[in-house]
Amino acid sequence: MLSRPSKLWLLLLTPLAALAVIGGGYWYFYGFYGTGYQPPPTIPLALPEIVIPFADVSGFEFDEAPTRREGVLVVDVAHSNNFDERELDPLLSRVSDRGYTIEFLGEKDHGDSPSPPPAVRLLMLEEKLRQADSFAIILPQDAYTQEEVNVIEQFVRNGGKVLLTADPTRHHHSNSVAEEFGIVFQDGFLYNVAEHELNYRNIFLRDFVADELTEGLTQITFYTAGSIKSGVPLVSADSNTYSSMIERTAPFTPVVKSDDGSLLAIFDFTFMIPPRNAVTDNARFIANIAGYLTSGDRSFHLTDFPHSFRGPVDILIGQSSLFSTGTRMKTILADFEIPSEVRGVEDFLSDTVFLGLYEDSADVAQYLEVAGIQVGDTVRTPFSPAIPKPSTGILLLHQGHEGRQVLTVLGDTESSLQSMVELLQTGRFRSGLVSDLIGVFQFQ
Amino acid sequence: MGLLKSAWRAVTRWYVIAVASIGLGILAGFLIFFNVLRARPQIGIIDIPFTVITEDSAFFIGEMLDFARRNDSIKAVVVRLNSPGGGVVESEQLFLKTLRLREEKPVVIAGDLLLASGGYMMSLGANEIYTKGSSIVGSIGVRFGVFPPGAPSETLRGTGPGKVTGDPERTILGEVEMLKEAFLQMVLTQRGDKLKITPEELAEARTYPGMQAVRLGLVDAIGTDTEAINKAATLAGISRYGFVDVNVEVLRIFVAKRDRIFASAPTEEPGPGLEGIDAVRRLFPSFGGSGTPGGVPPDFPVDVTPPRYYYLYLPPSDVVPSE
Repeated sequence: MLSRPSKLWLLLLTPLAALAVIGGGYWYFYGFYGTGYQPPPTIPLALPEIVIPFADVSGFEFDEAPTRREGVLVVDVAHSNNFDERELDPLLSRVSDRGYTIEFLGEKDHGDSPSPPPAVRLLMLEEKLRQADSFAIILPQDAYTQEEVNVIEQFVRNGGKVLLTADPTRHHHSNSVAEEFGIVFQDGFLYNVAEHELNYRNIFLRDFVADELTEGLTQITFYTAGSIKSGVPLVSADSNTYSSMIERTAPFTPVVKSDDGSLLAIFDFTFMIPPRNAVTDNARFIANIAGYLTSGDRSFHLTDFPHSFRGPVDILIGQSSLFSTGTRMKTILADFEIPSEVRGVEDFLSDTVFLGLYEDSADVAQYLEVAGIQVGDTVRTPFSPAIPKPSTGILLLHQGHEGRQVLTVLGDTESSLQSMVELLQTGRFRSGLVSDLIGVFQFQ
Repeated sequence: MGLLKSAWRAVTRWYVIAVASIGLGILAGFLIFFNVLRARPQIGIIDIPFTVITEDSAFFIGEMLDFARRNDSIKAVVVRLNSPGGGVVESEQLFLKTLRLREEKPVVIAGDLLLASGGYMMSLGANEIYTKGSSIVGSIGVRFGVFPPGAPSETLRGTGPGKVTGDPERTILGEVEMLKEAFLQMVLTQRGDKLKITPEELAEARTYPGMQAVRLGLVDAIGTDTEAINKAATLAGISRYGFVDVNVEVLRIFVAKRDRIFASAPTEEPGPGLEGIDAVRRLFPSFGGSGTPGGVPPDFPVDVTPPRYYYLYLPPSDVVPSE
């Protein structure tokens, strides 16, 4: 039997057992070699040191004093065009500064009302392009019909200039026009991660081809541009620029001209919207576009009556009995907001309409002779056989020096002459022309 | 007396005392180990099924991370995460909370379908990131809207041009570029030498399948939740462990707070200053929460919407077709 002190010593087994249990617990749950969690070193973030990477985009406004000339730019708003008219102000103001008048095809600010049906649109387009020197098609959401494209092609053949603008961020059917000119707006958008104006989609363009449109440009900035296939490139993106569609780099070209230079295609609309229009050389580029649109040498034909007249028109009558016919012509011109006066003497500096009978043809012999028209027992033109004079009439548009337009209207009788004027008023004369400048009509 | 004496002699025999002492010690050891030291290790499981990180979801996730950090028995945390990200501030907050948790306990992300944008940002705060081979990882960048400055009002005035009509587009673009750079910096600092992709490539904000993300060093390994748990245990230095369902525990706390609030304040509208009121309002909007704390002052002349930048991945379904 152990002594009392020896028995008390046995109580030490309690903490020892407890320690053994605790140690065993740690061994069981943590293992022999568990050293506990060692957190990885925390690298502090230097967020306050991040600065806004503003690029140098100085350039801003481009002041100019352009030469003024008369002309008309028609802007398409009849194809559910996907832009707000105010967005076009930077371009239109520069076109206006050049003396051009801005007309709209269709109704501005028509809100949510649908576009006119294609047949109506076609008539509107024909009428508007008769007076136009240039035509701007911005983001049409309704595709152009083949008939409409034919009218544009005829307009271009007559020397008209066309601006066709699309944008990858907005829905459009621009290819319905572009493809007829051998140009295709490609899918996707361009981007440059290496160098950009605050966002990878805002690309700088510096690789210009010498042209009136690129004159004076060092760097322009497009805000989501696309690539255009074919055509004559005017500016190309650099080698760091990629297409979202094909995910590779190539000499992407967001600005091209058609082969004959009659159509300018731009695959970015947003660069001309304030305040982006004032970044780098964008303002200068917009001015160059305005210069392009106002540099056309549009030729007018008889079918364009009365829009070939650009200023006040003198109305001359072959004899006093035709005075009422003269005033009717004045009314017709007034309907098109063309001022005119009936005069007795020809002013060789003014656009003129001559109304007379065949017997008055000597008064306009110089114009008839140039056109190869002979008025004798019969009426002859270079394009038609001899036609007996009774119940006939002639139209002749003479285009003289410095664009002077002289329209000669002759008939065998006052009745025939009045019928000719009526044809001009209704527009039905366009179906009886034998050439661009001459028409011969026979009445029953 | 003789019986008592013989009993005393029996219990005072040395081997009886020894057995009793050892038994008592064992009992005390268990009590101390499990109840005093709380040394039985647990792995906290935080489950985040598909979640866009909004103000409310970020609040709840943040509470779960904080709970796991404060709970001593939780020695490691596994976050099952499936998120395309969300608001920039909320995503950044979750990244910082995860980072804070990592300083005390290992955190392992078990990524599901999406570890994208702000969701990926949150996972950057963890020690290790596991994904599935077909997970969608990456999208390091910012989504935002650009709106032209509003027209000046005749009646509503501000003390500076930015007060009423908003910042110009270039300012917004610059700010967003800063946010992008901040995100990139988080990736670069947290992934460090593991990265096999350049910052310029990261800035393209592309997404990668999990298997490619491993090769690029954006995540650590392909693995299931089990691998993530094993990794968390290894990092914590524990070989046997239990689990804590952190979602349930946090929800239990919220519910308890709610019950306490309504027991002590029997009005329909809980008054301000009550403990846990914010949690109750967020979790149970029908009890007085609108989801937009603060709200709009009465009779304010314009709708108030916060500026929205997002660390958010969305499938490219809103690309405008050109034809």
